[in-house]
Parts: sequence; C-alpha cells; structure tokens
Amino acid sequence: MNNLIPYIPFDSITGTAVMILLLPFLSFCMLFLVSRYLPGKGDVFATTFVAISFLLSVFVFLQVWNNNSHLSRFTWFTIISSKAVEHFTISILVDNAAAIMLVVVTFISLLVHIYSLAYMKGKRNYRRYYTYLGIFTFAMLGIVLSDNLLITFMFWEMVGFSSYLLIGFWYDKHEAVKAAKKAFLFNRIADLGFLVGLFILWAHLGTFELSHIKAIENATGLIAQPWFTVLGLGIFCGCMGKSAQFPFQVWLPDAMEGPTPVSALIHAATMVAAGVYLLAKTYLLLNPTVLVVIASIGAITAIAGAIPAMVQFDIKKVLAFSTISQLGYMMIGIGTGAWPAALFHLTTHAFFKAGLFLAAGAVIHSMHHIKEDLFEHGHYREFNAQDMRMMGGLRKRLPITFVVYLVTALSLIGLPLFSGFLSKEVILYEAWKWAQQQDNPLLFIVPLSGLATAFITAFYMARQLILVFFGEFRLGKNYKHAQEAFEHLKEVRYEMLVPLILLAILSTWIVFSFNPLGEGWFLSTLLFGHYSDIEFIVVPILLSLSGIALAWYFFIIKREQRLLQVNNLFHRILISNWYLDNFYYRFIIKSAFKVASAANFMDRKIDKVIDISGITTVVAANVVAWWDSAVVDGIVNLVVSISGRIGKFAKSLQSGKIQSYFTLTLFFVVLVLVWIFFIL
Amino acid sequence: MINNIPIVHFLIVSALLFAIGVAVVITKRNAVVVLMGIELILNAANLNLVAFSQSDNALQGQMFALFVIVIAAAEAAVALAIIVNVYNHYKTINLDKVNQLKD
Repeated sequence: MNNLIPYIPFDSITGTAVMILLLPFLSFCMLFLVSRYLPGKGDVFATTFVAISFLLSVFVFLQVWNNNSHLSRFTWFTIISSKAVEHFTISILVDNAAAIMLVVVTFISLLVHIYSLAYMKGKRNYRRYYTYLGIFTFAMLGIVLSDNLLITFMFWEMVGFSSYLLIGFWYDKHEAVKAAKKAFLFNRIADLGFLVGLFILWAHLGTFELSHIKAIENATGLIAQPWFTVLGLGIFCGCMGKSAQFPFQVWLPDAMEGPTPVSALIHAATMVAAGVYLLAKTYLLLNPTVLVVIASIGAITAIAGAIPAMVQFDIKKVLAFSTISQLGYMMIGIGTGAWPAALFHLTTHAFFKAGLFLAAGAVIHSMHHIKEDLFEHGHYREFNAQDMRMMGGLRKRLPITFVVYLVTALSLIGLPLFSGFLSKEVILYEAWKWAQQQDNPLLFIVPLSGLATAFITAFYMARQLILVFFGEFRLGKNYKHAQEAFEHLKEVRYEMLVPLILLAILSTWIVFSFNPLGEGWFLSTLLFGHYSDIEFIVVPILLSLSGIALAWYFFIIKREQRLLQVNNLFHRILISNWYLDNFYYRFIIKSAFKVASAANFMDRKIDKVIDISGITTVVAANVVAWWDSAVVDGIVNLVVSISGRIGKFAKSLQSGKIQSYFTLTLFFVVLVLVWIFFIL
Repeated sequence: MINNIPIVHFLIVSALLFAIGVAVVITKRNAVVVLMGIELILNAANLNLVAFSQSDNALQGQMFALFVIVIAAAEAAVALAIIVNVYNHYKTINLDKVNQLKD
C-alpha cells in the first residue's frame, strides 16, 4: 500500500507558497516578542509582511491558475518497525483552489490589516491585535496549503484557537469572554468528528496524504462502505463546526463580540469558509449518502440562518446570520456535487461579505464618533452603537460607505451585474438539476430552500440598508445634541475607505466574468460544464427583487414602527436564533451537568471507599509497627542485652592484673579437679 | 628415721607450702614477693616429688626435683630480668599498677 514517494523537492511555486505561509508567522513571532519596541506597536510591520505575502500569492496565482498544480513533499519523521520503514510525510499542494484561496485569504487579511490601522488605533491591547492577526493568517494559509489531512487538522485547531483569542479580544467584556468560550467549545465538539474521520482514514489507508489517496487505484473502494460513510460524515462534522452549519451555527452570531475587522476576516470571509474549502478538497472522500446529508444540512442552515436575520437589530448580527445562511449555500453546492460552484461562491462571498462587515465597521465607528462627540460636549448618554434602531439617514454623512454597502449588499442579494449573482445562481441551478436526478422528491427541499433564502436575503439586506442609511437619524429624533453631532459627522478615514472601495469593486461582475450572466473565467477553469436555462436565471432575480420590494413596502411606504419592536412570540424566537441556545442549555448542558454531578457523586463515594481502605491500612500498619517494635525488636534487644551483659561480665574478668588471672586459673583448675574427683 | 615418717605428713607440709605460696602470689603487690610465692609453690612440688621418691628405688622423683630446682633458678633469673624491665618501663613493680595486659 505504501508506494509513496517520500520526497518531492520544492519548486519555485511551492517554495514561494512556503514563504507566503511563513511571512505572517514571522510577523506573529516578531510582534509577539518585540512589538512594544516597534514603531506603532508593529502595526505597519505586520501590514507590510502581509502585503508581501499577498503579492507573492498573486504571483503564485498567475503561475498556477489554469495550469499545472504543484506538489512538494518531504519526510517529517520515519517509523522503523519490524514490518516496514514508514515515512510520515508532509506535503504542500498548490492547485487552482489553493491558489485562489491564497489570494483571497492574503488579500482580505491585508485589507483588514490596513483597515484596522484606523479602526483599532488607540484601542486597548492594540499591540496584541496584530499579533493575533498574524497567527490567524498563518494558520489559515496552513489549511489552504497543506495536503496532509493531519497537518490540516493541526492548522484547523490553530485557526480555532486564534479565533478564540480574537473573539475574546475585549476580554474585560463579559459577553466577549462567553462568546469566545462558546465558539471554542462548539468548534471542539465538531472537531471530534474530524478526528474520527482521520482515525478511519489512517486505519484503512494508512496515509493522510490527499495526493497519495488520489493516486491509489480505487482508494475509496478499500474502505468498507459503512466506514466510508462515517469517514465522510466525520469530516463534514468538523466542517459543520467551523462553517457554522446547523446545529452548530449558534456560536457565529455570538462571535460578533470580537472587533469588527476580525469579524470581517475570520467570521465572514476566511475561517468559516475553511470548512467549505476542506470539503471541496476532500470531495473524493464523500460518498453519495454523505453528499445528501451535506446538501440537506446546507439547505437547513441556509434558511435557518436567513430567517432570524430578518428581525435582528444589531447591524453585525444581521451580517452574521447572513453569513450562516450563505455558508449553507456553499454546503448545498458541495452536497449537490457542484464543489467548484461552492468555491466560487466562497470567493465572491469573501469579498462582498468582508466589504459588508468593514462597511458596517465604518458605520459603527461613526456611531462611536457621535458618542464621543456627545461625551466631549457633556451630553453623554449610553446607547448601543451597533443597534440599527439608533441609526438611519447615514447615507448623507457617509456617502462612500453607503455606496460600498449598497454594492456589496446587492452582491449578497444576488442581482445581476454583481458577483454574488454569478456564484449563487450557479449553486441554485446545480441544486435544481441535482434534485431532479434524485429518486427522492423530498430532496427538492434543497433547491427550494435555496430559492426561499434568496428571497429572505433580499428582504433583510434591504431592511438593513433602509434602517441604516435611509430615513432620518432616529437617535437624533428626540435628542437635539445627537442630531447636532450627526450633522458634524464626517466620512471615515482613508485607511478604512481604501479597503472598502477595493472590496466594492471586487463585488461587481466584471472581475469574475465579462458577461454579467455568464459563467466567467473562474468556473470555466475548474472544468465545470454549466449553462443555465433562462427561466432559471429569472426566478431567483424575481425572488430577490420581490424581497427588496417587500422591505421597501414595509419600511419606506408603510413606515412600520411595529417591526422595530420585539412584540410577538415569533419575533422573539427569531431574535434568539430559534431558542437553540436555550434548547442546548436545557437538553444538553443541563443533562451534561447531571451526568457530571452524578459522576461527581460516584467519585465521592469512591473517594470514601478509598479513604476507608486508606485509614484501615494505616491502622493495620500502626499495629504491625507496634508489634514490630515491641515484640520482634524486643526479642532482638533482649538477646543483644543478654549477650552484652555476658560480654561485659567476661570482659570484667579480663582486668589486666596478672594476679587475678592467676586466681581465675587456679579457681578453674580446682573446679576441674572437683569435677574429676567428685562428679565423675 | 626418715623412713618412719608417714608420707601423709610430707603431703600436709607440701600442701601448706603450696597454699602459702598461692596466698603470697595472689595477695602480694610486690612482684618480687610474688616471685617468692612462686618459689614456694615450686618447692611444695619438689617436696612432693622427693617424698614420693621414697618408695621409688630409681629415685626418679629426686632427679626430677633437681631439674625443677635448676629450672626454678633459671626462671627466677628470667623473672627478675622481666621485673627489672617492668620497673624501667613503669617506674613501679606494684602489680596492681601494671594492668595493661587487657583488651
């Protein structure tokens, strides 16, 4: 089985890839050790490193895209057993998917670095921020490049860890700490599945090298069918955690406690997409059963993520739920066999969602500005800077941010002329085609929920745009000073605007395809035959438009104030994300605690038994010790003292005086004589 | 006339001599006097030897007594030499003080 070539030397591409990987790590190490001595706490330094990394990624992308993939492999360690010499290898694969991911990750990371120069300036623990970004970027690039699933798993865990650090960045905020813990735990639980998958893979094939598995003739046939299914489900389980799929999606809205640029980088563009990327990479390990599960879970996630987004008031939470829902789309893409489409959606989503988050960050930043302005003028009042009910009419003050938000939001909604349309439409079409081929008509739920999600997406994004940018500034309605502060509000700084504008440009169709309705260079490279029916293009567009129209009707024409309050049960269910947290609390956490306390009880009982046996042993030991010292030692001592006394007596006879010796001799001679004459 | 004295009388005198010699050897502190006691003991033995040789025509007892006297003379000479050396070493001939003959 092990006919693996242990060493494939680095070529220029994989060498560059390693450099791309190591640059953020270098930045992390430097910042971790000496950031307090660097100018600007090392922020420019880190940004430069990521910028170099990005430029190298572009170089690699241009070399690799639509070209040969490059593989390098070297031995990590060697196990010499009685049977064979096994080389455990690590490999780096730069193929089309990895190349595009390299560009996406380093690009978004670079933009977030630049954006944070303004956004995070002067915030507490600024120094750590760039350090954490460095380790995150490193870990994410590791997932992208590694072709060995065990190494991928290590980077995977590292990504989870850096996500934990960044969600809990404002660690003096109770919610942030809780959210960080929650995200970490949910990821850990899901990663168990990944680990199980790895076990199965090793047990059956004895390798983690994906390139090797691809090379083995009929590799998947070597794994027994049930195990193969478990393997696929295990890997998917890991991806469900990272990519926030139902029922693990609850951590993602809470993760919005992290700084907004971090939400853009990690919880929208890159980390959460890692699950989709991994599934695309391990597509050959997924059998039809698993694919159906993936498609179903994706469909559930898409719609279950989209519906709560309709009623959220927190600007970032809307985007978080939308991210969940879009990740559901990507899973539908994977599950219906259209993994290139999923990767495409991943790419376009990375750009427009990062754009949305960064624009939302700009809005939040401006709201904080108003707060600070009020504070300086002595009219401080506490309000939530992320609450959309406080916003409104911001398009007049933040025109560029507004345009960016509009473009990226339309891209998310999926209207023609925007990148989101291209990718979403392919996924929906493929899902429809897939459902037609399945025996089970129930599976039409998958494309239908996708279509429904398209409608809901349009609704909540239009609602958000209206609440944030249209109408009047609601905080200033009964609050003169806030209105004044609003009048003085200026557009955000250029460090923040440049990334926004770049992301807005990348959210248009022209970047991915010259034909706004066509398939573009992305999909044609991934060798994916696709042409949609014209009616299928029309349906999602109509749904999206009607979603926008509905939002327009509610919030502009009817000016529904009711919808800005939580006033019925349905509303409350959605606000709380289906009460999933409560469900988990009641049924899983509580029972886990019950098990724990039962175990604790048992433990105490066992402790008691051990205690008693311990005490008994000590008592017995004391008795034995007494016996030992009194009786055994006593006998020995007695013998000793008797011999001692005899010795002393005998010694006393030896006085050194010649006369006493003589006397003794005489005495004994007389005794002998007496014995001879009288006794014998 | 000597032949008329029963042997028991000799033995009694000899025993007395012996006893006196032993007493002197045991009780006296002066090494020279102890030597004298030893001479007494030897002579008690000589007396016995001679007394028993009455009934021995070969007179082996008397011969043996003569040897004893010779040996006793030699012994006295050696012993006195030792005593002189003891005195040189310890500056005393009190036997109670010469007690290093132990351990």
